Amino acid sequence: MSRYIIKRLLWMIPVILGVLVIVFTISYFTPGDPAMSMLGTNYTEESYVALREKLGLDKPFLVQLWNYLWGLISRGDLGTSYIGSVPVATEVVHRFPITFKLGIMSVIVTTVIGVPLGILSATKQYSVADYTVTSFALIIAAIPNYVFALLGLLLFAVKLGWLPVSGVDSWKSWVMPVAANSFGFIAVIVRMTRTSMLEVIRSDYIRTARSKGLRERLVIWKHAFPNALIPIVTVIGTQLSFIMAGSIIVETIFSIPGMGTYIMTGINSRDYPIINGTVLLLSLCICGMNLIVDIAYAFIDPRIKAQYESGRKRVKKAKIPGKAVP
Amino acid sequence: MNLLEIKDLSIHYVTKEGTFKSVNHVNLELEEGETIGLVGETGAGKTTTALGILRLLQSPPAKIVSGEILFKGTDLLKVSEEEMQKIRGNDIAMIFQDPMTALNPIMRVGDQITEVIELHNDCTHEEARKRMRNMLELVGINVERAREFPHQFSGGMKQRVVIAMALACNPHLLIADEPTTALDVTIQAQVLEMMNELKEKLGTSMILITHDLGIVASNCDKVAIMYAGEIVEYGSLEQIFHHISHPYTEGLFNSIPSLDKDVDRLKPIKGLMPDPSALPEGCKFNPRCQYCTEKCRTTEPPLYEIQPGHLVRCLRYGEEGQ
Amino acid sequence: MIITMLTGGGEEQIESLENAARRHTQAGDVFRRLLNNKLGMIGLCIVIVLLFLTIFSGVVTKFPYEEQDFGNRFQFPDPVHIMGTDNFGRDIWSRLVYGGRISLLVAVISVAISLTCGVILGSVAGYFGGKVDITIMRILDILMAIPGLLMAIAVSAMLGSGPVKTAMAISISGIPASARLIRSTVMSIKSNEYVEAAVATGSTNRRVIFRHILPNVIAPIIVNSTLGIGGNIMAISGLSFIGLGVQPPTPEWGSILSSGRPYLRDFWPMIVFPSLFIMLTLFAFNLLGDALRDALDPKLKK
Repeated sequence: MSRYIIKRLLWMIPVILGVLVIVFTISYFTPGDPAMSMLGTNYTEESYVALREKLGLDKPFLVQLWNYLWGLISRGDLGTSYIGSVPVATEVVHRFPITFKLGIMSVIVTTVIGVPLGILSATKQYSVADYTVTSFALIIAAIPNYVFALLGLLLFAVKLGWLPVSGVDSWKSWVMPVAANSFGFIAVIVRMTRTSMLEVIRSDYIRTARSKGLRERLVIWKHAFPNALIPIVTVIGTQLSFIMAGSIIVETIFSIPGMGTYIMTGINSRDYPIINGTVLLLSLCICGMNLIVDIAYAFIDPRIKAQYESGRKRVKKAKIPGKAVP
Repeated sequence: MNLLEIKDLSIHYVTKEGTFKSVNHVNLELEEGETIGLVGETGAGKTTTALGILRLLQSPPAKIVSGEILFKGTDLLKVSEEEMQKIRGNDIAMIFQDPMTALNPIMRVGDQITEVIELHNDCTHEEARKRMRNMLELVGINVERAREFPHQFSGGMKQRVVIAMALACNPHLLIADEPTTALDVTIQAQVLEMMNELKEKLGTSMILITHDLGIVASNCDKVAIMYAGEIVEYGSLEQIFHHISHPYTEGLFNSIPSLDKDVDRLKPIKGLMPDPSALPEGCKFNPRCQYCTEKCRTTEPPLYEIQPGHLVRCLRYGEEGQ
Repeated sequence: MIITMLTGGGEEQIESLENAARRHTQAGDVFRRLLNNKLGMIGLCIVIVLLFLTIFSGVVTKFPYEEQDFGNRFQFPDPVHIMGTDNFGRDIWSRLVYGGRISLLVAVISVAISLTCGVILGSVAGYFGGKVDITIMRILDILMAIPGLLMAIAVSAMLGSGPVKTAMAISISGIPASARLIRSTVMSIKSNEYVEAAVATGSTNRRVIFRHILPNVIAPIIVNSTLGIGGNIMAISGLSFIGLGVQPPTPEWGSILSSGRPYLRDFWPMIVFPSLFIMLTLFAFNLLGDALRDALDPKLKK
């Protein structure tokens, strides 16, 4: 098991490097000149050239990439924002916890609401409860976070005056952002839980569990639910990736000083180090999350654990043509 | 008093596509310590009957239309779900057809056996685990393997686990639904022998569902032949095997290759089992029966008692009897 | 000679069996199942209405979408302007109908781009396996590590605004997912007996791909693209909403919504009506996609 984790951690290095190269390339080719916008009205030919040299923007693409990479590896330096000359790392230290908090709260809310609803809907298939839950899921799946946020603001902040319009000052100000981030995903989790539970409930070992004389509640929670967990955990894992990206929009709407608003600042002012640094960090986060999800699989299902532990065998097996494991 | 008495049991599957009459007016009797063989082709309603006894049918679509299932005198169809839960696994246990999928894949096999013991006995966890280890020994599995998961077991070993689980609470009645069909022939014999030994030792009655007449011959006291949801012939092992009476039973025996007799060709039963949503008029076997007459196509045959305890659902015996 | 005849015959037989099976299950049954799915038909109706509105935008609107009328700003809905007018006095209904044209067009183009790339990468990886597979999948792993919307935002910033550029930006984030889907489908089809039989009887790679594998990949492609159009409309409007993607004065649902934000307190039509259009469209494509999936793969439903 630990060998598997180490292998996966090592694999994260090329992935992150790849992400870095992609992001660096994208921002390099993004039109706009940071030096020009930084100077603004103070523009002179000399100061422009000097600034470009200072920022290293006069160097060829590969040299710039190498300098960035070397700075990152040797000093853990994510670069310094052009505007305001604040190191990206310093800024991120303040902003990341806010986005992380938003993300975790959203995941908790979706899971706590979505999973029980999905189970209810599966165990009472074709009942009124099932139809209500599935229709609810269908409708909320069609509401993007920005639409939910605006309509929510319109109702709860403007018309009813219950919640503040922006900021992160009190718990009340978190309600709408978390709700906007979670809402659509509740639908995803409900549907995934329902499908997965329905499949498990029909399996032979659930019939065995019933034939033992277990109470239905135990059959569902002790035997069916753990077996239905793998796809649910997968969805929760991918949800975090979506929420990280979705927070850009949600944070913008609610003026939350997190990673999302930081990226938007970077993009709007062509502040490349901000874009590179934040995307890199978020990707790292997602890689870490994927790893946690894969490790969770091993704890849920001993068969997957066995597969991890005999890692070599699996690769060999996949190479046999025509007998591919999807 | 009989341990189990099934009276006029009918089970239908009601779906959008139509009603499938899976079990029709089945009567069965089983005494303490006896084994009855329930024989028939796939789709004859054997498994549905078995699941009906335990009330484990998915409903909807399954619906028990009529009948009584008297177990020790109480009608199982009338008791509450809580009482039924006390009976399942404790008084009546079941062994399922496919050991590969019958065990929870993410639970240690030891825990799966312990679970049923703890459920029905007033004992500590330690005592339950001790009994679990005894059960494993009884079915010939190394006690060390209690900590392993089902995927680490072979098919035959899994079936042993299933049997250990089913017998863990000394049930009065064991329903074994084709317990050996999914296993290799060599393992089949081992598992059956073991089941028989345990049954004798624990004094359990058994309903053995199978389509293998060989297994019936070596394990059962009574035999019920099922066709299209009905019992077409019923009697002691002796009566069924030596006085084959129903044309369908005859067909079943003719489909078995025999070493004693010098036959060039097997005589399989022609045709297929009728669609349970559109059963034929009259005798349900008439389209495939070699003795079919005009009357068979219109009249539903009752069960005729041709010898004490030997019942046959065929019009030919009705005429003889009269 | 004899061998070629034998193998040729064998393959034809396999194909005719397989084709018969496919014709039977796919064409008629799929259509019948689709018609029987009430929710799916509701989705289809909404999609048809939307298509009608966007194609005949000129007929169903009374005002050009860019016509400004400063005397008539912030009109609440009335019989003349059925959804009111915006901050420039433009008819909101007209802007939403024309905006639908952009949203749908961009969504379709982006789905087409990501599917084309996804099908090529996925089928090559799935069919050939081995090193080709590993290389492609590793590159996709890297792309997957960047959240889709983030990627779209970055690429959109790089490419600039405009419908085609937005479509390209959105499509990039869709490639890894569709490539993975196609790959796993191809791999499971490849291990089917009839494909193995075709390979065993000496079919060429090209023949196996085009005659056996691609026809079977079509079902997941149809489902994926229907659901993808909905998802991409959500992403396009999202991009436009934060000021990338399609930008004013070109009407687009997200940008109309965004331009209504400053007036949230006092003028609701600029928020509510674009929201309704977005939600209804997503709802319709989700319903249709689900219905198609159920119709194409009845096993999944049961």
